[in-house]
Amino acid sequence: MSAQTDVAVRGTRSVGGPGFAARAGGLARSAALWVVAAIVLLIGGIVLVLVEGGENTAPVHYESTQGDGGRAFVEVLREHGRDVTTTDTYLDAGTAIDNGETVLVYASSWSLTNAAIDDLSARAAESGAHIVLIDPEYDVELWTDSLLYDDLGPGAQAPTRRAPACDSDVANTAGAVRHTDTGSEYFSTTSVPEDSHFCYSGDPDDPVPHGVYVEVPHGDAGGTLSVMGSEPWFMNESLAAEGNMSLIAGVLGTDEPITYYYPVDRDQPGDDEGGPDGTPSVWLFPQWAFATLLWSLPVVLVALLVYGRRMGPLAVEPLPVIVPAAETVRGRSALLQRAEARAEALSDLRAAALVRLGRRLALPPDAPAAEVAARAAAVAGLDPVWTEAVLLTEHPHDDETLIRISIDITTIESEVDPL
Amino acid sequence: MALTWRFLVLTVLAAIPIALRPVSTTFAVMIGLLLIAGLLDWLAAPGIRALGFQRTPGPRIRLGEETSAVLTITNGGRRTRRLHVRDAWAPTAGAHDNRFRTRVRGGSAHERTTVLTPTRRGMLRADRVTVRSTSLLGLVARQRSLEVPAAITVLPPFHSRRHLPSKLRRLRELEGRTAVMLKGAGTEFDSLREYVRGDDVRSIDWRATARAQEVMVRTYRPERDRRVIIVLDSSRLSARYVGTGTAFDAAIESALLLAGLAAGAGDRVDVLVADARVRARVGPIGRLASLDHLMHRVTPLAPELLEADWETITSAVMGVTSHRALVVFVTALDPATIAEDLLPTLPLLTRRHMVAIASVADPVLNDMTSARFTTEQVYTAAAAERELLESRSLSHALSGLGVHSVHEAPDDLPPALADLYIMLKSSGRL
Repeated sequence: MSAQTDVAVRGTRSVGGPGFAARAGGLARSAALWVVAAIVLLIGGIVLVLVEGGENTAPVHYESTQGDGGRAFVEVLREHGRDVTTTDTYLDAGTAIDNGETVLVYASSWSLTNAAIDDLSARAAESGAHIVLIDPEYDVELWTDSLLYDDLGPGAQAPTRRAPACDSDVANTAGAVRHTDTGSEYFSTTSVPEDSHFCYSGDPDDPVPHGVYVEVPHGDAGGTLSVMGSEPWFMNESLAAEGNMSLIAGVLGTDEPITYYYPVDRDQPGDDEGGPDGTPSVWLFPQWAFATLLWSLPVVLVALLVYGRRMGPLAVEPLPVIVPAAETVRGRSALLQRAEARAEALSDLRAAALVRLGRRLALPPDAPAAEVAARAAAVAGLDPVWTEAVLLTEHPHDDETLIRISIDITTIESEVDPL
Repeated sequence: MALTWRFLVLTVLAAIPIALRPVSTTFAVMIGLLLIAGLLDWLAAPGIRALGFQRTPGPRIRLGEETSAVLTITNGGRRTRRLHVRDAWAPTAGAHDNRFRTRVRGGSAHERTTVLTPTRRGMLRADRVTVRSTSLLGLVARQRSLEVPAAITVLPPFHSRRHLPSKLRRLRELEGRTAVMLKGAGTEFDSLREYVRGDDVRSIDWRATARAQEVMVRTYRPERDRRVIIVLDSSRLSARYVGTGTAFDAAIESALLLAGLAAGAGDRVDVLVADARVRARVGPIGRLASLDHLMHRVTPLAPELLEADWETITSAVMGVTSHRALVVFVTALDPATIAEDLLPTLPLLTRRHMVAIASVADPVLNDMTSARFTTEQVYTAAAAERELLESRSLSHALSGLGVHSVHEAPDDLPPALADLYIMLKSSGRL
């Protein structure tokens, strides 16, 4: 019967159950709703992320438009014609310092390693660069020997709104500012050095010079180190408050190019390991290589799903029972060997050989074994004593004897009937 | 649902934007885009419910030959279906190249022929049809498996049929002493023929010789219309794997040759397949049933892990006929089983019937006895010799009871059994 006739006569089979229309009225409809909802959510999430532009939202980061971001002051400076370069590369920051430029460093939150601070500080002292640190806290002691940081904690009784109370033109132009973390200030380790300013101190009457905005000379090449001890001054949300922007613009100078260095972990010289220039060797890999490596995880997952999905269930088949025929013989052989039953084994071998020899020599089935052995020796021209020993009398004391006798038996058989 | 290699390629390609802009946002966007692409493509893939499937199995074959089965896919919907299909069969059906891709337009059908090379005898059933449907993009497929019942019949190979012409010729030679048997209904004239060299001088009819002036011989024809009952043992003993198949396979080969031969010689042949119960009875072959019918009946049978109930089998044999018959048991000559179970029932049968036992010898045993160079080999040889001795002594015991026995390797058993039948036939002992 052709396949066409067969289909015409017997019809075809389809996937069982209710049809698509029926299912659409029930479970599938709700499932579709969930699918659509998931798609909408995903699209919404992606649009949101894209609208945000993928900016870095770290505090005071030059890309961040968040309330605590630092994009606004950079933009304002640029609008006023300042040449502001932003970077998160250690190499670029070092180059700017070597060129004696004004370098603003986000030094808060231990963002720089000790080795990096030592390196940059030394290079600034040598080149006469103007370093402006954003709230370096205890790290300030690594930058310069002239300053100390002290944090008295939130309980310290000091005003938040502070007047400059110093002779710095910049501070006096900017006027009063707010310092919310009232206890944290920078102190001088010595008497007031020349050309240094300690402004916005919580207690102007204190004989030890201290303040939130501090400027001290740095190195012999005419460089200065400015410490801006309050992060909020730079933040987008509070930039317009009080004299914050004025203070920033003043501190950063008037005409020199400015480099804003926002340190990241990956390329700073480490304290222990690293490449020839101190850079940790693992960070010598480009970032795209790490990203691609990370993406290999979803790729592997998808590959598993693609090639792990079976094309239908395994074909099952009830097979007929099969018993290995010689299994019982092998079992008996193993039993004989384990029991070292050499005599029994040899007895079987001899009996079989005698039966075969008797038939070949045309002896009656009831012929005695000794007669068969004697006839075999006579016919084959073998030593009758040896033949009788092999076929009848010799006892196998060990395995070697057993093997030898069994080989001798086959020899006798082949001699009697060489064919 | 099943992802395709195209989805994998898309995932790999997503690494490019990630490498160009290695930030977490790109990761999130790429994962989201992949998920959306997958979901949309899954929704776009046409459903499988509109598809109809049917299998048309090819002609039945003997084991060792090729057959085929046609899978017809009809598309009852309007949309074109891009399909990846697996036409699964039982593994021993030997369906090669059974996965294919096709495109079925709305309202049309597609036929696919799967070539089957079965590796065992029996009714080999088709497994499920698994189908994947993809959209034009083919990122994600809908997948379903469904039962489309079909089976192919694989008859026993009947390798022993090559012996049938020669054995039949020998039978005719036996009958040839009466030329009439080859020409048609006999008359008195035709029952005599001229003497040729080699004829038995005792069969010379001197009266006819005197009349014809030539030496004439009387011819005899072997008895016809004898009954032959072949009993195939399908118990656990027949499940033993001997040579290239089970002992039961060799028993089927032997039974087919003997049945063909006996039916050709004009005897009535009945075949019983039995273990703890009678599983099949076919016959009488030559009158009510053909050899083909016998083949068809034994095809789906396979030995089971049951002890043979020889009393049941004996009573079934007695029930076949009350006349004298040649009863042939085709079994495995397991000394313990035969001695304990079969021997006690034999006198009842031998009283009324001629009984023969054909058993399958294991050629591996002879190989085992030949190597004797290590301790293990010697013990194995001893155990094998023991088995052979027991078989031989059992054969002697059976002949003492008036039972003929044939004990041969699987390939040699069918002709040996046929020779036994011819010998009995020619000697007029049936």
